[in-house]
Amino acid sequence: MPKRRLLQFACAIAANPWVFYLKTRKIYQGHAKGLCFPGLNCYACPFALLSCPIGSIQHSFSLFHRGLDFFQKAFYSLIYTGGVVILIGMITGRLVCGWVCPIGLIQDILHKIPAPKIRLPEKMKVLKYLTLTFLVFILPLLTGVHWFSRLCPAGSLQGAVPLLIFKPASGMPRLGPFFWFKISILALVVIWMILTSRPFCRTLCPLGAIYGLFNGISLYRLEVSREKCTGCGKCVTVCPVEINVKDNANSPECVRCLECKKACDSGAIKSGFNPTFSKEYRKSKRYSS
Amino acid sequence: MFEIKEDNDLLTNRKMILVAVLVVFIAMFLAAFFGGFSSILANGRTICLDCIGIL
Repeated sequence: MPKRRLLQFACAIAANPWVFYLKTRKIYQGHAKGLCFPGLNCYACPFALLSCPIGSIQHSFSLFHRGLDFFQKAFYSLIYTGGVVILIGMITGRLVCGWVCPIGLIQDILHKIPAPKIRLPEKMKVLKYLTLTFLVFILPLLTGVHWFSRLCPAGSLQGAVPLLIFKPASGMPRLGPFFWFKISILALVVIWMILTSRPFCRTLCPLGAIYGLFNGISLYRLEVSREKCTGCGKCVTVCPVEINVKDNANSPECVRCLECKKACDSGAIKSGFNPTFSKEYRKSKRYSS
Repeated sequence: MFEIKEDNDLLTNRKMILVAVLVVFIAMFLAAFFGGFSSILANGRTICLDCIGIL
């Protein structure tokens, strides 16, 4: 099994190791829940150890809605959760999307199912920024409700489905029409994941939208050597997010899975944190990033 | 939104990014200390009904 796949599975298990739930039917209540997992991992999952960063950011904005009494708490929780996400973005960019996030793993696996494959229209990529702005920032601020969490298919898959199977000790609340609406969204997104590569990352994920903004400046980056590049196009063919790697290796869309680097026969693509790598590569002419 | 200067300025940019990382880390740590962590902890300890579709 490739190293990346192993790490994705390891991170998915590491984010959801609370097997004591099966005995106690109570979710993890320890202090680790105050930490944010770097990827999208719903904390409604009965096995979740850490909190979801997007759920936490929405919680911070919704606290502002409650009034001045909560302002201080809201401010500090927003700086804390926003700081975690910005920190990860500045260091790794979207590396988390390619190597850590369980939803990325699920998409990678589902897309391997034999089915007609459909390219994603370019214009749909802007949807994730709208999701981030309205469902994560503005609507929770104005209404106090976690709007993205209400619609998030990761919540349905990681939270609702396991809780239906392994009912909590406090009992499962009666499921209404909204629950089935969420399951419908999940079903549609799962089908889409089979037909299109990484559709959630490219069109809906607000966390990926934030990390992607830092791809161009993060300490971890990709670089393409113009001298070594033969223009074979293999990097573009294998790219799961369908970007033109040789022209824009640090695109906000890139999930830094490094499939392009693996596919490149001439060693023209390099990745890393090391600034000396940049010095060597500055000597050769390169495509602008 | 962010602009990377070409070639010779890349290392300078990296230093600036490292400084920015340090600033963000300190801000995050202080915010966590002053109540951010406990707020997120309290939120994470409850089953998120929005996430599972219960209104």
